[in-house]
Amino acid sequence: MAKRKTVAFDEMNGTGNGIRAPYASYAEWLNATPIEDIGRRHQEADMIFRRMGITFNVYGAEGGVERLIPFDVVPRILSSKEWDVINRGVRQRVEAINAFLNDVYNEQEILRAGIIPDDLVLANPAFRPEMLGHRVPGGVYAHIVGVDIVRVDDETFYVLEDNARTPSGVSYMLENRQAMMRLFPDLFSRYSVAPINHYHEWLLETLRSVAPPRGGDNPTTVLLTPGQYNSAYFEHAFLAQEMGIELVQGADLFVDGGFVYMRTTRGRARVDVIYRRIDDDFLDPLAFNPTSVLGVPGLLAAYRMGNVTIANAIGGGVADDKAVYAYMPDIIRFYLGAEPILKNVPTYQLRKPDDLAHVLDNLEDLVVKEVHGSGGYGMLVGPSASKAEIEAFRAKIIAAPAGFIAQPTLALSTCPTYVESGVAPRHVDLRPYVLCGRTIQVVPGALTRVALREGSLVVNSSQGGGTKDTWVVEDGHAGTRR
Amino acid sequence: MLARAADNFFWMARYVERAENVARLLASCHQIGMLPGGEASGQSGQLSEWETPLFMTGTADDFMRRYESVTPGRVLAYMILERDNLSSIRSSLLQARENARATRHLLSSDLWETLNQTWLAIAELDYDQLRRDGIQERLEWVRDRSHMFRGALYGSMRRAEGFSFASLGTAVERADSTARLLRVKWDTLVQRDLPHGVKARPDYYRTAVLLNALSAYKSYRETYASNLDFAKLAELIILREDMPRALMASLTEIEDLLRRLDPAAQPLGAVRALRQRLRSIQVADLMRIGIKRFLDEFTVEVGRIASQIQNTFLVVS
Repeated sequence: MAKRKTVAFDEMNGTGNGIRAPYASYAEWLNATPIEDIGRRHQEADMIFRRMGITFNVYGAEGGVERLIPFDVVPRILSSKEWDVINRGVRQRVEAINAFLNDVYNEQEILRAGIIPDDLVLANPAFRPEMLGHRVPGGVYAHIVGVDIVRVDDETFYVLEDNARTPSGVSYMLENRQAMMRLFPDLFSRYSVAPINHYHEWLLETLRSVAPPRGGDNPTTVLLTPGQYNSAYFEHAFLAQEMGIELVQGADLFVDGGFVYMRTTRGRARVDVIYRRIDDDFLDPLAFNPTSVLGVPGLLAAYRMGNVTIANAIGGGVADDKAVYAYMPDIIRFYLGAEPILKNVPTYQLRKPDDLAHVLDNLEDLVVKEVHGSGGYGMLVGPSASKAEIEAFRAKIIAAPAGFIAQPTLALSTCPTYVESGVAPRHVDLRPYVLCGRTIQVVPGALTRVALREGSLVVNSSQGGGTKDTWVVEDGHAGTRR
Repeated sequence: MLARAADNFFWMARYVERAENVARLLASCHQIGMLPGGEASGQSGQLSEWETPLFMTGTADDFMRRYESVTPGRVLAYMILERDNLSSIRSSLLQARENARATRHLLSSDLWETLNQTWLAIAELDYDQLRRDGIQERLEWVRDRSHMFRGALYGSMRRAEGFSFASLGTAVERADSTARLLRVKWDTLVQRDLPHGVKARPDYYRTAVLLNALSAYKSYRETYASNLDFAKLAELIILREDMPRALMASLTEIEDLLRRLDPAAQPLGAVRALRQRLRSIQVADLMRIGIKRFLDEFTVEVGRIASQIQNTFLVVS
């Protein structure tokens, strides 16, 4: 089947009317630099990442194989004006998400106001009745949020997804910058690129700001990981090291008398804040999945007593669910009384008969996603799927329509990317990381993910995506040092 | 620090040291194989040269289940590369790296990258490649990487608990491995075909190879300025404080490290008792008890100390 040929907006070349301002200086440099030089730096980057063990583990691969996430040496560049919109937009969303979570686990005004159907929230698998009436410090549930954004033209950014559970990838944002500064010192002296490497300081500050009052002035914060065979283990270790906090597994913690302790060489030590990188289901075998060996028995009880803070809070998944996503503009209006700064992608809810009929008629033009899926698994990209794939997916949809949403295929912007044939456009997305404690903080940067296969729109690392360093630079010549 | 992290430090270092000692023993077998009659099987009741690595690591039964007979190539492949042999050099380096990875946030980049590089260099190695690289060269490489590991540990890690537990792992494993190595080699050192009635004496070439395997040949010459002799050999490898691979030196290190961690640490009792025994014993007594019997007892004691360390610091309930 012939792929639809849409000319996407390009981050460097726009729609073909000359180099866009943020890239002016870079394009000049790129022109003057032999492609072999870029190739050499590309290989060098590979070596750096391999030696440092900056890898991810592939689920289901034999023996927990570690892979490198392909890193692309051509940066994604945003002007500070563009960044300003994104920055304000994601802050707004995170503020609304926290107001929403605080509401649905307490007063439930939004349900009474009929803004969002009750069952979508209360019968949602990510909704945790255990959280009802539990007040969390500062009213903050989603402390770390990674918002997935795509761009379709000069002015339009869409939010694809709010990752409000345990978003990963921030370590790549940080390591990519380190690698770029090492590989291209000349470029960094040409451009004034907004720094991002203080992220971990803000992260620690965020976590400590929501410690239980009993934690005192110096709350003990730990990072809870499923362990070294988890796909994001590198990131867990990296963040623990950067923050100087203990990297614990479930078996390192225990609950006694309503408090959480870790086992040290000198006996027990109390824990006040847990930055968990384990899903809700596995946190406490007594409360949730009883077969979990990753969690800590009794943790939920200690949490409900207010003796420990868990970040992100249990039950936050109800806010980033793909079905709830469709209501996000209304949620923003309801709590903040403001219009959304960033747009939602128009979304068909297959639980609605009209939407379902429309989607089934237009599968070859749409992207269909599982409501509770993640990581690019269980997803149909209509325009690039074969007839057989479409028919197989049609059967899945008809079997359980409420499990799916559909969106128009967006012409994701492209960004110049180093590939075998030279530098060529590839589709990208953008994931900035929002920190929410007593205040909201966002470092001026993001993870740019790139679909390395020509024409592909799937950027997930588990599906052959790579990453790029993302630069926020001053507009026009102001950001160009000579 | 977290008890589990301390456990990771301890075992990371033990596995590096284990790989090194297996490499040292294999290198000595390989060299002896080049001597005339070197590959001949042992005299009745004795281990042949190429059986010694299997007995040192307790893998002889597993090996014989897989292969019907002991040949140099099989032993080398099994002890260097075999994935299913938990004592192979490859397995030890994997375990070292996995323990490091579990606690990589507490390692200096120098230390982590050293271990990671070591693992990456052997992960995909197969026997053909190994032969092309040269067996001897590869075994020396293992030794070098172990030196580099200790160099990175010593030169880049903060002198905190992690450093102590890693150093402890090295010392415990070295005491154990050296005792086992000497135990399996002892009988093979006797010069063969001596006329009836002549007192047993060490075979010069075999003994020199063993001393080299323990980086002790020059020290022997320096210390004794004498021909090779069983009693001096035993004294050098077992009783001397100033020989870094000697049992006594390893025990002293264990005691110092434990005292630094906790002057009231429970395992200190057993360490002091064992050290006292070594200090008070004369080499003549050793020879009378029988070196092999003494080494067996010593390994049991080291095992007891290791499990006390485990229970005191590393598995905390």
